[in-house]
Amino acid sequence: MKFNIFNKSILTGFVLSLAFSLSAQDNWTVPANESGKVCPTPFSSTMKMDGKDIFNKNCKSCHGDIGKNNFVPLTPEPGDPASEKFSKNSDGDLFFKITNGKGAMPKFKDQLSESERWAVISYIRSFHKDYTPAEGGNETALEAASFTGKDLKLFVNKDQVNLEITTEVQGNVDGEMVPANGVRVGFFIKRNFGLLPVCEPVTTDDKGIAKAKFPNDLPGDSLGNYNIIIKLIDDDMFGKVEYSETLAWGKSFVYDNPLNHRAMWGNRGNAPIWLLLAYFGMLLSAFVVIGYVMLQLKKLKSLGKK
Amino acid sequence: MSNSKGKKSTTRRDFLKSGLFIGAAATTGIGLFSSFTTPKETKGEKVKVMTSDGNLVEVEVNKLEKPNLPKFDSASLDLNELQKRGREGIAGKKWVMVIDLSKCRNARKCMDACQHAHHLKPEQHHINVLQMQTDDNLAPYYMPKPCMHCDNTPCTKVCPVDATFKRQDGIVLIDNERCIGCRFCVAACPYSARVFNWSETIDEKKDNNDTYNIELNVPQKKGTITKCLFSADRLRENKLPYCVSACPNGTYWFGDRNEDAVTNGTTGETVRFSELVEKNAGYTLMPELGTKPSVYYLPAKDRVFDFDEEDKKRLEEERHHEH
Repeated sequence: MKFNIFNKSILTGFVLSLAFSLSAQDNWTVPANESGKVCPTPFSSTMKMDGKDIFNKNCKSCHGDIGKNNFVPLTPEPGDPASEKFSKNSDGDLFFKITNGKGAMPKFKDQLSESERWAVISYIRSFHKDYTPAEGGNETALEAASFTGKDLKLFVNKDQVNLEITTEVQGNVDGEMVPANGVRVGFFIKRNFGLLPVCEPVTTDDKGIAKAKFPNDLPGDSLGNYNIIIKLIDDDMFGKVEYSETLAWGKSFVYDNPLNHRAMWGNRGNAPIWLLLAYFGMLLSAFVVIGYVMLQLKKLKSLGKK
Repeated sequence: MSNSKGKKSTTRRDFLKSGLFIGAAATTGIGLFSSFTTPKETKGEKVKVMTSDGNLVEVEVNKLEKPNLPKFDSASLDLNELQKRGREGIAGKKWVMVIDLSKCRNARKCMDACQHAHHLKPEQHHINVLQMQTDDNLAPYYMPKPCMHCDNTPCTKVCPVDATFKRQDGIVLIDNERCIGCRFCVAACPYSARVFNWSETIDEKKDNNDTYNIELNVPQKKGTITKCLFSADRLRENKLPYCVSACPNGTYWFGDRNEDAVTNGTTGETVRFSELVEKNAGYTLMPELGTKPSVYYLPAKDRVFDFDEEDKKRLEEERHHEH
């Protein structure tokens, strides 16, 4: 009996490993000259951060959050970029696959520039523990975020004249609040279905300061109010740090209900006056003609009686 | 006898003569009056309501209260509420959709989500992904086509019973409680956006007891029109339409033009509507008709997916047959 179970587990193990190797191969061969390609510049932390943004915009909808195995269950499955299936690929392999796509995997050749594609690879590589950069490039190990403090806080200063917001980020390092440098701050305006970024994420300087200018031509409410949201982009590292306020910096938008106007497309109650006049005028004149004919007939009859 | 006959005929003529004028005056007068005043609830207006024992009673509108009514009446009131808010739309909004043709790969997830939500048959499309090739020398591309929700709608103009209408937020809806199935709107729509329920609907028995939701057009009804609703029921909950959120390839952007912002259903990214259509040379379908669509297209430039080889072959064969 024991032997049997042992036997079965071997068998299932074998089948599983076979299936895995098949899926890992997935018949996507990369030409040898492409496979050996390496990034012309070393991977850096700014590159990695850019890659993160590009990944979230273009790749996350199928591949999910890297390392969380929450990719969309498609066939063939897209897989988690942190998995072995991905780490086995050379940098050139990844670059080729992102560039040319296959089946449900889009080709990003015309959508992302070469440096953007390398940035995505640098981000993916930061999840591969035993990744060793290829010879002749990429030698920089992937650094962690430059700021290591905790409990980050935002201090906001508004310039009402230039519509500019200066944000100071501070964090707790060894029990002391110090300016957080190298932290990315996002400036947004709240819209119906999401947050509209005012600009690209701004990285704080040595004093922990990030600045952004807000638009004055974006429609707000009737008083020009819009809701701004300032938050740290990398909430996976620093937790959710957010600041929001309503400011009258936008363009005033006065709502004009189209149903208050008469139009051809409107329903019966909203028909244009010229149309109503024309229609009822025609109706009236038809009846007038009929009435006139009747009158003449009556006259004819009375003439006949004479 | 002859005398009385003559008398009778004169009275009838007199009656007709006088009657015609009164009738004409009355019809035009009433018509004029009703069309100049939009229907509004006036104070002390009375409506006829049927009680649970089948008697008709006249009640003042403002004295009608939901909890006091018997159960089946509250169901009909719900329908009225749904109809009322469905006709008005959401104040302050003007919904727009932007379809990026460079991203579509004919995955048809939008169609599946739509047909599932609106209880449609596989051959009925509120949104349909078309295979387009406008010239022999041009590359074919996939084009999702929903209702354009025109600002100058040809379809609502021809409806004889006010069943199809445009709301303040720009959405064109159909009320299948009013629709008589004349299909004038089908003929009027230049985008072929309207679908007719020729036969029993797919979930007829299952949906039968549900209150009709004008913003979802469910239950579907045989002999009436059904069409894309921009997922008006989802918008009421501040959610993106079914098709927009179902797309796996980032083809759809949706938002409020009054806010000048659209959000991508796949990535959740929000951009300025005016910038998006300007930078990517956005266009509308059949602009020469002056319909002013609320659906904008971005050209199939720098495509993310290649056009399917089999589809390409089929298109070529079709063209071959045409010649």
